[in-house]
Amino acid sequence: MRSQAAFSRATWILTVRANNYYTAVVMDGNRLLGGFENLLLLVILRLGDRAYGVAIRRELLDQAEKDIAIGAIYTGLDRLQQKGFVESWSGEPTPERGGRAKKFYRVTAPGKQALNEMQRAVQRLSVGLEGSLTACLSL
Amino acid sequence: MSELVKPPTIPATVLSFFSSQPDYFALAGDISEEFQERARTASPTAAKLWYWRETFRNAWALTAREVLRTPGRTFLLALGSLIAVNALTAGYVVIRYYPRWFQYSDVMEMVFDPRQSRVFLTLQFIVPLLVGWIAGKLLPGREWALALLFTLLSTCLALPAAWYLFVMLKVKLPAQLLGFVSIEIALRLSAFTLGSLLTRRAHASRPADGHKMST
Repeated sequence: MRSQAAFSRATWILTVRANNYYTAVVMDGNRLLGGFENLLLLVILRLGDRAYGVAIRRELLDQAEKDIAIGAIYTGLDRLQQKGFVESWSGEPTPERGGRAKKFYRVTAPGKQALNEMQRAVQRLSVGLEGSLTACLSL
Repeated sequence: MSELVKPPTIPATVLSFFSSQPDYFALAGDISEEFQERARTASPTAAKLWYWRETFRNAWALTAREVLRTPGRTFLLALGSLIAVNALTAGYVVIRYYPRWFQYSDVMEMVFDPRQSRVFLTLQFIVPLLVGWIAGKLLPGREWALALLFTLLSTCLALPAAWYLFVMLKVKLPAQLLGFVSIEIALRLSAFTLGSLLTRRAHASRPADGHKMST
């Protein structure tokens, strides 16, 4: 069964964080990809070589309509880096940054794989739920 | 290039309090960059207001990050510190009145005798200060989380004790004694916070570290 295969590869955990339902998928042991981390990976992929704090924050605000503090973004990026899903490097310091360097991020191959797995799991689990999701949206 | 606007001093100082955290320089740089952009495109006043708001939002996020970095270790160290502070201050009282047991009249004597109350309050400052300093040394980069957990644990122990004393046993204590205890608690918590934060330093003091790649 396709749905059983999906569950064998990815175990879904639902937790509540700050009144938002937070979805996470287990991959390769205990390497979890959370909802916010999923968003961050997508944003970094979209930005390409321009993915650093300000650009990520702006993209999240423009595309996902989420006004997130830069400190929370770095917490998420740190988690992703620990899991090996992103890598970072420092740019040149600029005067408007008070002489501080930008920290750029890039999604690694395991990060792309995790993101792909997450997207596929979401798609599989959403099959047949279109009606329910539309009903939720119209509430 | 147009002239740069200076960010407000107070929020900049609040933000620098977290300079020991990983990614602090990138984060402070991002806030500074967005601040300069807002000052250019909107107005310096609007940019300053945004900076204030952003600093406190980030202070909250960075505090949560610090607490959640090693929650178990921070909790154990805060608990150990609380036990150590109580054991040392209680040890003083036991030695002071040895061989007889500490009595209610001794409490009143301690409160009303200026010399004794000074000694006791000094002890309530020095002991938490030293314990806080040692605990802060053992937990570099998480001193603020340690101080917060120490305060939280102290409150969690003090509130049920106060409830039992005043609500269940209906004990009526003289106002002067209540005032003394309040000062003692405030002194102990602030001394521990001060002691642990004395060890807080900027670990990553270099503003830029080249083009190093890290995963």
